[in-house]
Amino acid sequence: MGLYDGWSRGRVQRDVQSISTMLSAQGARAQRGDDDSLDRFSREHAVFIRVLDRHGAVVRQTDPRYGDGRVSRVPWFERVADFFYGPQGAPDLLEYERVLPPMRERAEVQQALRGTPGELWRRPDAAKMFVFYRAIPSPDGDGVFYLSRISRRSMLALYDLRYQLLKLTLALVVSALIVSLWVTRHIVSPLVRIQDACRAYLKKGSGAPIVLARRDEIGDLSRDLDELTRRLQGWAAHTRQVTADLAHDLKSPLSTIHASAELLRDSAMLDDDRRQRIATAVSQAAAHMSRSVQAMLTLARLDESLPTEQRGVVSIGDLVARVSREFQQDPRNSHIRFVVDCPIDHAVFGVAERLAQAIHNLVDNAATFCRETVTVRVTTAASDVIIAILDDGPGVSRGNRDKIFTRFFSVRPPDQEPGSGLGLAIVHAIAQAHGGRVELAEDGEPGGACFRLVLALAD
Amino acid sequence: MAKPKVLLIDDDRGLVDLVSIALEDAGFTVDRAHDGKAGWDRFCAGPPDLVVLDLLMPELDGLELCRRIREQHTTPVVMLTSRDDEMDKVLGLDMGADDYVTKPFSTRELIARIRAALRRVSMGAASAEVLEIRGLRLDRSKRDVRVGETRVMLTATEFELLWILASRPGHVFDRDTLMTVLYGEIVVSERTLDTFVKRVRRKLRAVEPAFDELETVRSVGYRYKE
Repeated sequence: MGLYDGWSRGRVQRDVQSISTMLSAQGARAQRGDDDSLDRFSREHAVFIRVLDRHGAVVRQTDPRYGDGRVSRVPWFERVADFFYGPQGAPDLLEYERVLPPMRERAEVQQALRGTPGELWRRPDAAKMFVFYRAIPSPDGDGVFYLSRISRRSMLALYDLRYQLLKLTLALVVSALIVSLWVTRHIVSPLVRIQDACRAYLKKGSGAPIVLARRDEIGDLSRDLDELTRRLQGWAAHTRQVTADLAHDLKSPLSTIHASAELLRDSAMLDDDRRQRIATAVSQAAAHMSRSVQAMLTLARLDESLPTEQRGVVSIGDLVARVSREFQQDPRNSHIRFVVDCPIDHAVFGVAERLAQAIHNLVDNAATFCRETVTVRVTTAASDVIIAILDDGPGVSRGNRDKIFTRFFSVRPPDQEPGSGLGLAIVHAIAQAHGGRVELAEDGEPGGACFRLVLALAD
Repeated sequence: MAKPKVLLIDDDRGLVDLVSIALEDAGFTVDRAHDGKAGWDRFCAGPPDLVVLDLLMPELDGLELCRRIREQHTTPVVMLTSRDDEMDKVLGLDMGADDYVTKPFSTRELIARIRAALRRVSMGAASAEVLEIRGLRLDRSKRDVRVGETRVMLTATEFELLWILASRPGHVFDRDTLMTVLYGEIVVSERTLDTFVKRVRRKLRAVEPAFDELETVRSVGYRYKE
């Protein structure tokens, strides 16, 4: 409160100084005291005025209450201050005057009697009241005007409670401000950031991750949203890629159909051989397209159903036996020897139907390339079970090793039924949905290919 | 005049068969292969006048095969691609292909492009013109390019491009003019031309690192420094 105190005292001092100058200008008339002009002046300017004669005796005085402003007109800011600090002035100013030295012994009065204005701050009751006194020689030199006014400090004691309440209120306002800033900064703005990111994502279909490094629920929310976005983007990219791959794959048979139409239209001669070749090409193209579309639908259904399918403990021995049975029942495989090497049964957690499909696809590939034997060998390594499918065919050439997992890539001997190029993609999708993988063994059996389906053992 | 021999390499057997018929009807002899490796073997067995190859193939893919052909030969290469994205095309051109056709294509268009590529090879074959300009020597009949004493191997398209620009130093050729001279009526993208200029610069710089005679005139075309 030192600042206000200083300001208030400075104000009192300046006021009283200028009032005394005004009073001095009015001078003689006021001194005569034959009317109530001094009283009015005192009231109007909120100052307690006493007129002393040359011996320092009081010849006339106004109401002391004028000096504390309670009677005078008070500007609005003073009223606000009054509310908190209490009104100016002490009710016991005159009381206090009694403990002061007699008029003529007061320094400021003596100075004024000597002809120059004198002024002084007094502090009657330590730290609770300040009174400003100013004595000026009256214009006729035959006495002194003695003005006084109280500064605000006086009533602090009386208004202690309100003052404390003010402090408390201010403290509350400040802390409320801090809390609201904190809430804005730590809760509202991150939420707004998350919202902005979501909107930007909705608008553009892509967006940067939100990344809020927080350990609370908002941080969790942002991480979850990021993860959700990442998965959606991954899913969208996957879908885009698969669609592009399909479109790409269909362009070759489309070219064939295109070329057929042009030949039919432009050829000068269309003999039986030519007609036969065109028909073969077109029907191969049609078969290619329907194979691709069918396999694509299978893959799409798989992507959709795999995550929600009922899972359970699946015996690898049973799976292999089932695939083996189906394989041997197929008349196309009559010339192939099917060897199962599964000394101990192992269990994995998953969807039996799908796992059987994956093994079936790998066995089917092996059957396409083998000379006479397809082998399924089940082993374990650490916490994994490895289902290896081997054949005694030519193996995967070096040039094709990194291509065979590409969607729609298919190399089959010309005498074999063509493949869709999605068989391994389907195996890959199934393995991935089971937390496993499919791989082409780096150094399989001599000569032939060796694909390995690696799955985690059930606990 | 002997029929030009085209080596057709694509793993789609039906397509290769039909395109062969169309090419034979158009007056070409056709050699075929169904994967990159077999294609390379056929190429080595009897170099064709032109190669048409698919980008994605078993064993050796089209880009790799094209790169391999370019190591020693200037035989024109037309790529078949199913990819629409420009990058793939430019990448193919960057590897040394002369032109590309996007699947599904019309055999007529393919034949037009093959003919244009072969025409570039025969351009100036009869003329005995020789051009010398600041250490660069172009012999059009032999399609021989030398920087100082070192021979630079350019394909027909690259040679013709350089020949046109170097024959009028200081003259700015806009892209349309250059493309019309090189490709005739066939529509090619501007990127294709830019890629060719890049390739010529790269080959010349491999011999003379300070070579900067081929200037790009922003948003117009190219010129050979006067």
